[in-house]
Amino acid sequence: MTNHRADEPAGTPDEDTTPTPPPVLRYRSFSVTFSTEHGDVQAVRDLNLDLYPGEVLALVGESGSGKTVTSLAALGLLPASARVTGSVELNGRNVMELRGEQLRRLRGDEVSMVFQEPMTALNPLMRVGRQIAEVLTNHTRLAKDAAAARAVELLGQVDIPEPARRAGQFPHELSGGQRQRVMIAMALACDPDVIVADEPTTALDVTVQAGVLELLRDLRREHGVAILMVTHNMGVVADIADRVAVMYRGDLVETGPARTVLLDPAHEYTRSLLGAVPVLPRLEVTAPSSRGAEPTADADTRVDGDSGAGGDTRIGTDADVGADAGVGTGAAAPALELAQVVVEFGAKGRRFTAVDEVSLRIDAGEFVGLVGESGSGKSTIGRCALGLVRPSAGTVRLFGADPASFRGRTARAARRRLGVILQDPAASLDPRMSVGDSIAEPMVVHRTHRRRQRAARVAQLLESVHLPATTASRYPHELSGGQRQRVSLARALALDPELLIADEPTSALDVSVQASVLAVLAELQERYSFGCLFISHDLAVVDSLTDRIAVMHGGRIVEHGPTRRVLTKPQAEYTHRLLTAAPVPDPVEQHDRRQAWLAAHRTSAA
Amino acid sequence: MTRYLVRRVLQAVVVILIVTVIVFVLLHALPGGPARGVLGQQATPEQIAAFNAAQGLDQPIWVQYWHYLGRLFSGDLGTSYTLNAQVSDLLAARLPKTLVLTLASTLLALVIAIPLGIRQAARRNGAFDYAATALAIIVYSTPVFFLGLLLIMAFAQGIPLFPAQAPQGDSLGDILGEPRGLVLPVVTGALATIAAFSRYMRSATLDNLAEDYVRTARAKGTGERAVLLRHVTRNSLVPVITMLGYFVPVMFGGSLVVESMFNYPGIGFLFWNAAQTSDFPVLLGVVLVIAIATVVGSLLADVAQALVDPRVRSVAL
Repeated sequence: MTNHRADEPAGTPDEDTTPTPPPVLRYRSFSVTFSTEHGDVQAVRDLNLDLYPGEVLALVGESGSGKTVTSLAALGLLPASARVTGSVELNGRNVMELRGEQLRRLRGDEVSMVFQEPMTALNPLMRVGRQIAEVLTNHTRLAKDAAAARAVELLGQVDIPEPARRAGQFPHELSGGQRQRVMIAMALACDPDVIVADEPTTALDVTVQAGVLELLRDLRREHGVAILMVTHNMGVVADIADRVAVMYRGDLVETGPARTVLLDPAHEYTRSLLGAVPVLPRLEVTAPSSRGAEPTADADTRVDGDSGAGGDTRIGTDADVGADAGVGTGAAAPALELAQVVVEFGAKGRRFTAVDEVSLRIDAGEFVGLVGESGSGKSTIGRCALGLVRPSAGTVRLFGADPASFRGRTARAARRRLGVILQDPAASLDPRMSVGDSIAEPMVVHRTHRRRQRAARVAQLLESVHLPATTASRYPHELSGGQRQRVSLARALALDPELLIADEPTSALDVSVQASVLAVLAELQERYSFGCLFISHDLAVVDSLTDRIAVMHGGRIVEHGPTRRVLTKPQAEYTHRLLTAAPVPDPVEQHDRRQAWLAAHRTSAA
Repeated sequence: MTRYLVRRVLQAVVVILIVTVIVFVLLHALPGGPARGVLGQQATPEQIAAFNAAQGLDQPIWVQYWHYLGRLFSGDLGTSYTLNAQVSDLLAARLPKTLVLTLASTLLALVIAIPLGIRQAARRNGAFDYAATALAIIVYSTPVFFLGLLLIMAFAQGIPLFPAQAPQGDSLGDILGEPRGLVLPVVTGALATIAAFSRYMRSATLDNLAEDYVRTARAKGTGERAVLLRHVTRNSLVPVITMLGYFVPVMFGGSLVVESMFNYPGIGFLFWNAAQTSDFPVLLGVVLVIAIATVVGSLLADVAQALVDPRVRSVAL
């Protein structure tokens, strides 16, 4: 645990061996208070923090920790309602004292910012080239066409292919990763001393995230810019940060070199935060295998081969799955079975295949993970299982019948056996319905319980998701994200379903909250033994819960097998890429992963 | 884009056809039918039967509708028996005048309302914002005819700057030749629109000021003025343009009052008089024109929106 720092740039001020240059950004006794209807809320309390030239400092914390407020202050971008004491010095000047024109001159020139959501952070009605050029015309005497030419150069520098063409496009015509690169190009345009990046990769897929982090690393190396990186993702911290500052409810609880903080955290909160991060098992393959389906792969995938019959592969990567539609073995009927499912969207001429010949089977009581990046088709599979999408080809069997053809009584009966939990708990609970009514709704719809019984059942369900029974009379907006998601879970389980479809149930939650929701889910599975299709982009989350996973890419299942095996010895090239792209909070292992990712990336680029 | 346009135009045609059905049904729903409308309350059943046979009104209703459609396409909207003129001739003479009046007041209204709304949003909850808001609410909740009366009292009688009556005359040239006479009708028509659209613009601007891209623009070192003019204004116009498309019937409602008040020889005045004499062919002719104008208005709004917003364009492609 004491070496492995070979590729760190020299001069990062971890130890006071060399005389360090003065910090570019210096917070001193910095406090921010907001007045709300419920009294004053202190967002940041007496913060002292330094950012040195050329270093990457990660500012870590969960929602409400004050990390974003702290980062916005560096550009003087705090909302007018913020009351500030203390100072934020940029190159020796207190940003908090600057006004109007002085502040404008600073922003984008000395310090610039990359925001979390690249779609909304760009002006939708302005071509991206012009948005980049605007920074230049704001701060230099560059003529319009010269600025436009420089914008194209900048797009090239952030590795956007065909920069000249892209410059003439609007944000919605770019992918999420490209938009974030546009933001970075903008941040870079005037060669600032500091780039503040607020969760710059949170909205991106892991493989895209790896690329953006690599770009930031390059920029730091080539331009010597200091980066204040706000993030909640410990893997990202391990990947890129030299030093870490941990915030908790407005307080800075710990600072130190990334390795020390991540591997040997001093503060209780840092320890619990790290403990809550779901961790991927160590990859056993460090180089990408030549091809996905080696002979050994086949043997390995068929773990459940003890059932003997060759036609009964539970794993459906191959074409032979179509054969088991008749369910030849004596095993119980699967809860959900998809055979050769194809889903196409769009009108003639502009057909888009979202799901391409996917076969998948979930037995009663089995937890199956479905993993993929955005656009992989994983959510469409979930919607097929719910009967919300009718496949263009292939068959879907839910408890032995086709969910898309369910009508009237059959549909009701089938839905009773099915629970659903979706990503955003705030959006999937009716804001005008009390928690108790929301949980009781399935019982009302299916007329399973009388009024009295319903109240008792709601109390019981709340108790099983570790919420007090009094929660029943509250409304969703009064609850935290984690509490809301537990309410969703309670509602999904109200009718004792045999199968739960969970589409990214924890990705909107903080890690510690995610950990508690996952723990509740695991505990309930133990108790009620329902099956589950767990859809997620997060490999580590899937690892802790499921027996089996299927990895989707471009509408196809590229790999399918026992969870441990897939995560430690991936056979498909894509799974390998996905695994190496997912950062882990251990800086030593992350270093290895990054090298493996770079190697794989170069191979695929070549 | 062209495909989108074609689709939207086809939709518009369908809507207009539905309107013709409604108008046709209304024509026939007149008490006693069109015959009674033409011949008057004293007509005998024999006279009515003769009239119906002569006009083809004894044929099955769908045949009649077919004939009605055919007449529409050849520009025949029927005859006004009270004015003893073809409805189409009446409309052709009056419509341009109403268009001049509504376009002038709408343009005037937008030129004032848009900057006003932006300024209010930029300095929200300041004295200027409060004053403008209060004024807008007062104007918006005051009936148009009362506003017009006030203007006449102030600027035609109190300080006699403008005539209290709109320019008269048959041709459009007669009317445009006397611009001073147009001032009060145009201003009266514009006031309520200013009030409404400054509110829309204010709230659209406020919504946009809270958007992430505005924060990005500030983080780039863009000055507040440029943030407003370069980034926010165009984005805020998108919803306002849609509103404008739906505003056509409201503007007509306004011109109805303004025209009858200032004796302006437009379509609204025609409608007003026709309503008083139960001149149904004229009333329904005007209704048809307004319906078409409304459909065309929202079509234009959609096109304008596609021009302003590239996202609409690419979805529409």
